[in-house]
Amino acid sequence: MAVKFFGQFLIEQGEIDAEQLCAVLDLMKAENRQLGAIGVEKGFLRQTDADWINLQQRITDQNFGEIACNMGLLGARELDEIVAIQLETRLFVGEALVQLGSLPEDRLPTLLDRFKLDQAPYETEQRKLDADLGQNPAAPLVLDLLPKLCLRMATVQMKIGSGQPLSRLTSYPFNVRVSMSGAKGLSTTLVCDEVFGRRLAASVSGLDIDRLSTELIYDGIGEFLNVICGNVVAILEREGIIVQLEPPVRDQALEAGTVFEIVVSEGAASLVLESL
Amino acid sequence: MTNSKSLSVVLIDDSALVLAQLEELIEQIDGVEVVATANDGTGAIRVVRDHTPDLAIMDIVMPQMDGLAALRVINHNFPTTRVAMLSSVAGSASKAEEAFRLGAIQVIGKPFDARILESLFESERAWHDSKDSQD
Repeated sequence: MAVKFFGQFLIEQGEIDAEQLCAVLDLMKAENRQLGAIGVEKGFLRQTDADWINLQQRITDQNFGEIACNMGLLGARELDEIVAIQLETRLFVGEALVQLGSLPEDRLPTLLDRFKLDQAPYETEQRKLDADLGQNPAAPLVLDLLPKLCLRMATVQMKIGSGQPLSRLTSYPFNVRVSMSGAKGLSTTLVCDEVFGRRLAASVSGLDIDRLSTELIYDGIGEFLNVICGNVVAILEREGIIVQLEPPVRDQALEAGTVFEIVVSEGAASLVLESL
Repeated sequence: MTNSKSLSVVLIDDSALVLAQLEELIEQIDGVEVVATANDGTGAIRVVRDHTPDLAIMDIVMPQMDGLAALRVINHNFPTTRVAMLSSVAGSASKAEEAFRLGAIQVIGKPFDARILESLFESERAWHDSKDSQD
């Protein structure tokens, strides 16, 4: 049992194969429109405004609607309308598989129920942080921001499992730590394979994925963690908690902390958090 | 704008990836030349001293001497070089305020894209043109 996406679950259950899942992901990418695109189509936004909001989303922890409304680019009614259109027209994995003929329609409800049961222990609200991390204000922010920003910055979907002892850590070739020092500090270590590290570095930098050396992959993971932790530093500061962001360090021995298994759509990774 | 002289720029970041990204983006922008790079605050002071560029684009969080400490020295000793900070802690009001207080002309959040840089260079060219016409 592990954290997984519906598509992974279906492969594991022998309902579909990887080729069918890739075809579905391509279809979803083509069909599912972003809020900005819908706003432009409805005449609520200019393309330059939509591009600007999308960029701000990558930098801050505000969603599209918050940024658009705060800047006066969209009214509440207009936002509600484009969100409703997105929800109405959104294609999900199961529906897309049915549409492509990879899954019989009458099997979908049963498989979704089984998937929910399988994944119930990994839902965020059920995640229990250990006594040490439970007292740390940065830890839940990191766990919340990591998948959101991974999707925004790298267009890689991510799910995070429940905390495990350090002895459960899987070994991967890349290990990068970014610490937030201070009275309520936290060290954040991402360990991952080359597939995920390369994808992350290419997405963060916009550089060609094939020209990234090992050195640049390490840097890319560090930059990604910097953005996550930089946002956490800013959020904590608003709550009156001051922590300092430290530069990324590589391949530091892990002697303590809590391991969170991470499931990503490309590659493999784990996160280790330790209160400082 | 095409009549403006080329902007000379130095880039300072401890990440080789960010330097490569900046160089690649700037390569595609007319009228801007990267004359040197460095990977910490001490290196920043050295490249500014050696090249007296129009503009330095510098990270805040770096090992050894950080960007804010380097900014203080550069602004005091090399006032003709203007400095834009580039950082993942740009969302921190205290860091951004400190950078502006020390003389930064802009504090850009990471991740960034070409349009942010184009806008920075455009305003810098305008500033230099205006200054040249006053001199």
